[in-house]
Amino acid sequence: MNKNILIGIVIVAVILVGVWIFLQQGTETQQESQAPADTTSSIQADLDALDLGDVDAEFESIDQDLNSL
Amino acid sequence: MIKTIIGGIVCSMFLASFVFAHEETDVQRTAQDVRQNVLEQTAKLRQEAVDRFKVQRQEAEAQLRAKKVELQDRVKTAREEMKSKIEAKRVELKERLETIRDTRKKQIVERVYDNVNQLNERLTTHFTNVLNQIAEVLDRVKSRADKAEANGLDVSSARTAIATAEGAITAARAAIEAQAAKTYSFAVSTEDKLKSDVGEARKALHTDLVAVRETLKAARDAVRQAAVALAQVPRVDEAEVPEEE
Repeated sequence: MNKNILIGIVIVAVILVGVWIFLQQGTETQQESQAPADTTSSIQADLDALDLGDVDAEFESIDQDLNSL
Repeated sequence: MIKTIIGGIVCSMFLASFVFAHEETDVQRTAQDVRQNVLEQTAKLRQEAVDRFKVQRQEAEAQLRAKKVELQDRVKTAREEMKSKIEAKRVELKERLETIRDTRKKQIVERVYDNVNQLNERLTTHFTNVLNQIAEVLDRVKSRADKAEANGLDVSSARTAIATAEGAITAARAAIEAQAAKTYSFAVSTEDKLKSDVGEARKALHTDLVAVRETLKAARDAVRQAAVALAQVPRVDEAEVPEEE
């Protein structure tokens, strides 16, 4: 009987520790995501990531049709 | 006699120390008042800078949202107007193609007509989205400049670059609107000239789309220049303005 209670306490403790670690990680992620998005480095990174589009590539299928005329 | 003189000197020294101590307290009090005034003035100026920053940010965000919606609405309206024109010209094309015997070629020409106009619609939508992204990035440059200014940093060169970028974005917006209002049709003459007739429209669309893309590229480069100008301000990324002060 005592042994079962002890096992139960250990399981509950392990679960509580797991929940605590999970919540801690969540807080850290939240803190990271709250970093200001208007720093000059993040602005430069977003400008680099902009995709203006490849006009020539968009004409491929039209050009194939044109060549078959 | 000597005792009287010594007594007089001691009394004088005692009185002098009392007067000096009193004067010292006055000086300390005055210094404390000056310090308090300076602190109050600094806090007042800081609060004014924060208030100004908040007003600037609210105005900038409202303006950005309005321009984004305005461009999307205008492009949408232009496209709706174009739909009926494209359909009418499609009917005209079908009639002109009746002189062409080769059914396969007829189908290709009709398909290219649809693809050319669909491509224009697809790329103007893409350009609209990209321009909105560029405008959002510029808004962040402005936000950083506002924060730096609220913290007493000199951002005048960045402000000039920001104004140039705003001009480039306006030019790109106008180019996209004009492009969205365009349709492309083919002047079908004879069967042996089909390729060159259709090729003319293809070339026109390509030239137009490349030109619009160039205006986007110019807008992006201008925003980059503004970001570079801002990055040259010492400790600019450390400047923050508290949400509530």
